[in-house]
Amino acid sequence: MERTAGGDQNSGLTAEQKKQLKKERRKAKVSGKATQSTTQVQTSFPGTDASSSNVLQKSKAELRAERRAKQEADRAAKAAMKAEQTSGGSKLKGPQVPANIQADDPKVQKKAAKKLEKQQVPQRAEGQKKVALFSHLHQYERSLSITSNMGFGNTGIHPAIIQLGLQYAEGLITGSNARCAALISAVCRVIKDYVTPQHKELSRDLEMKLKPAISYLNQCRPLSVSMGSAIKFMKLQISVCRKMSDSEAKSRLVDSLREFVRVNIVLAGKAISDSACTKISDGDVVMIYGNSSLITRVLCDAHKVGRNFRVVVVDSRPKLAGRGALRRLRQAGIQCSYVLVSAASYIMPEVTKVVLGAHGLLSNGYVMGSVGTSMVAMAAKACGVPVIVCCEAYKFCERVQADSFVNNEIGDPRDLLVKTNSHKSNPSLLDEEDWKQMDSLKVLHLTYDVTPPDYVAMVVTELGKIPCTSVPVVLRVRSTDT
Amino acid sequence: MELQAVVMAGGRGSHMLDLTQGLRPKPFVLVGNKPLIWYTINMLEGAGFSEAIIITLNCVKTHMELVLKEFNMITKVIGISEESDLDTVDSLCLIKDLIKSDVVVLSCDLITDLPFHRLADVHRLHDSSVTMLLCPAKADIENIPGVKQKKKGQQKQREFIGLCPTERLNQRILFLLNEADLEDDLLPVNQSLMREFPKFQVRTDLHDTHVYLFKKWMINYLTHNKMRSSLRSEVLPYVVQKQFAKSNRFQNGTGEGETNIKMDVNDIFSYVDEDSEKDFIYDLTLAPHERKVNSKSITCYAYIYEEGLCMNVNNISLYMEANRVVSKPDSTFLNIQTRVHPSSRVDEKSQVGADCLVGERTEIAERTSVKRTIVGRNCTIGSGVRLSNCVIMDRVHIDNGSNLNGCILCDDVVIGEKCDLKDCFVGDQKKLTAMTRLSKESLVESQAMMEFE
Repeated sequence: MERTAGGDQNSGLTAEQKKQLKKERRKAKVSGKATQSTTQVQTSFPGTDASSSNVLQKSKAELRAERRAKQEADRAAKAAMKAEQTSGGSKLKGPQVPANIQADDPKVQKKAAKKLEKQQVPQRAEGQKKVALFSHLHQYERSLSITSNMGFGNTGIHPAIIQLGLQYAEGLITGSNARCAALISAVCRVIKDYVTPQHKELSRDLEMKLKPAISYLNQCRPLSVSMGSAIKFMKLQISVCRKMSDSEAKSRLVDSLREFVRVNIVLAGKAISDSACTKISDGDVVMIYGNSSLITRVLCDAHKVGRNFRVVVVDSRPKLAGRGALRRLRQAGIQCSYVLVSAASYIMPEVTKVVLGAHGLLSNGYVMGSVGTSMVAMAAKACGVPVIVCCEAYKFCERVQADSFVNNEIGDPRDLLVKTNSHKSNPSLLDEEDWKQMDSLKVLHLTYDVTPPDYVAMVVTELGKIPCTSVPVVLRVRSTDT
Repeated sequence: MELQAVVMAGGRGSHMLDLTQGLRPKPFVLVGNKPLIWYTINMLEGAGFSEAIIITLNCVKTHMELVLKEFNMITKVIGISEESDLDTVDSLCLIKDLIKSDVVVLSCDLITDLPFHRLADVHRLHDSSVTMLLCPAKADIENIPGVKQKKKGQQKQREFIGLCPTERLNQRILFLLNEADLEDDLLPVNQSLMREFPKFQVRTDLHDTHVYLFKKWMINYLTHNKMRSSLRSEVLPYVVQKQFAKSNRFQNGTGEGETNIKMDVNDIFSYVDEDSEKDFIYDLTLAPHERKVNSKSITCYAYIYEEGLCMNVNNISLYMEANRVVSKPDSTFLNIQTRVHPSSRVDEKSQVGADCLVGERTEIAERTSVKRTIVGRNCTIGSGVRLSNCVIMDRVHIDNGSNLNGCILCDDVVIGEKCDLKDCFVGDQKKLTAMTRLSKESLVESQAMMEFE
């Protein structure tokens, strides 16, 4: 069988020639030269010789052989990949990353923007001069033009929600409990004013109505863990009232939401307060960090019961929330001291206990709190001072986080800078003009941080005093309860 | 419905009687060839209001509806009769059944480019009982047409506004007093105010633009309690003062239920909506509060708008100023209207400046220079005329060779040849013979000349 090298086109072949080619191919199969035939196919593409009569047969046979070779190669590769993968253990799809921590990925952001547009929620402008390490998180511009196109009519987002979003964004309602209670109060008003349109069911339509509201609130300020918990509860309740009349469903919803606030904030606070009071003994020096509605309640109740203790309030810039706590404790008549977080380790030898509030508790036992909490906890651990965290059970969340970088909230950098005035009182302090002019200067204002469970001795919840690592158990218990 | 708009257009323009006598009450005074009311409604429509209520005099009701046809908004015009002499609060009482939510009350003479949502945001944010709009007060212009000389010693009515010095622009109003209500040159300050705000700023350079956002319960209070008749001069200072007054309700003790407390019609606190949920939230929030705020308290906030244009066209000086601002090359009000209307004919040899406006079917002959002037409809301007800094209304005829500087000419005026007028005000239908030379004169009907201080 002669072969012609080169050649590119198949010349027209008669039926006889085709039959001959087929025979040749069968012979090639029998001889078992599978791999050889692939190379043969390349070289044997026919020219105009007589030997080309064999060529089509060959090429068919060779094509088949080629295909088979490909299959085997694929199989081999797959087997190899599997071997690799079993050691790696990753799915082919990859982890699902939420869009709010992918602010630097333009594709994801485009999708998110489209989603917001569909819901008719205005999008907030991104801030300037983001720190490179945190460019995956959103940083919003302060000037609130988010309401510029909202109008004052009946359509779109309910005015109670608009008001709530503004109050969140401007910091008039801060603190997990307050934000959650305010959210529930606003949603109750929405439900009260809600009228089911014709041919639609309350359980489905109300949920559709709440979606843009929640997107809007998320744009004003990223949702807190407590709010997330409340929203989950809301959705569950809405889906349950399926076969009821409208007025009955509405009243049932409003009642259940109010009950949620009563049970999870008011009663839980009382239970935690009773529990934690037993841990505060006479002569204690208790250190707290920042402001927390629960912690101030615990301390005021302990004082009312008659315990004799004094408090050290640790505060940090720029929010200086500790002053609010200081004011409340002083109004209750408790003896207080006040330091900034830079002095935490200095004053730690005097302290006998550290009581911290939490924004949320993560499934791996880490405590998410306002930025600076982990510093205080670390300083306490270094000095051998026990750290007690007080947190309501509804703030436990299924997220897992081991650092403060992956997921956080970035505030306005201008809060950290001094106000510009025409005659600078102290030229060594940075103000807004300096920040804008210096290209290489980036200012970071973080809101939360996570504290590892090794630093925390105990968490006091309304379900009892538990170690940090028992969070998944509590979550499981709560999910079976509801 | 979150907010309803009410425009008070029933005023007679008592501070600029020269302009507003006859068939041209204040809402229809032309600024930049558009009636004053156009600016207010334009702003409301741009802000996203879908409907508005306008209170105006019966005689101009139909004219009003004609002007309003231009807009997409649903407008409801309520007429009041000229003889009734109703003031703002009484007008609100008329429409109290139409009011179903919080209300923004505007006057028809407001010209502004304020993005309205900023003011509404202050109201939403603080949940305030009253929110006002303040802008820097404007000084009178140098040469007011028709006014011979500035009356010596006459101070413009200033307003003393006490503000809480916070970093942001949405300020809490602590104190509101008009100079006219000043007794013995002393500013009375409440002691409880000083206790809550030991440091506050009193500013006299701000002007209240008469834009008020009221909560619904305020409207209930105003309509039931007819002791006051003017929003601006009586109600607002009273409400601002009541922020720091003790309420009778508090003194009744906390144990009494709702039924025991007498509904005192005159006590403003009995109208305030109490909301225990809001109290609960205020208790929980970690935000720093200057004062213990709860849902029972009255709060008044203001938004100070300094960046842009905001004026109440109240007197002749402001009228001239408004015309000048509206016709500026970069004005935001002119995107619909072309500067020189296509139906008017301007001769090639004439010059019409870039900051002028020429109305429909006007003819301007050759060698005429028109600078910083607004010319109305159907006018005929002869050749060789020099117009500078004037406001000319409809159907005016100016003969050749005249020279007008800083004048206001009302409808149907005829100016003869080679006249020379400087800072004059010429009323409706006046005819001036040729070669008249006048300076700082006001030619109006005699009854309008009486101006009581």
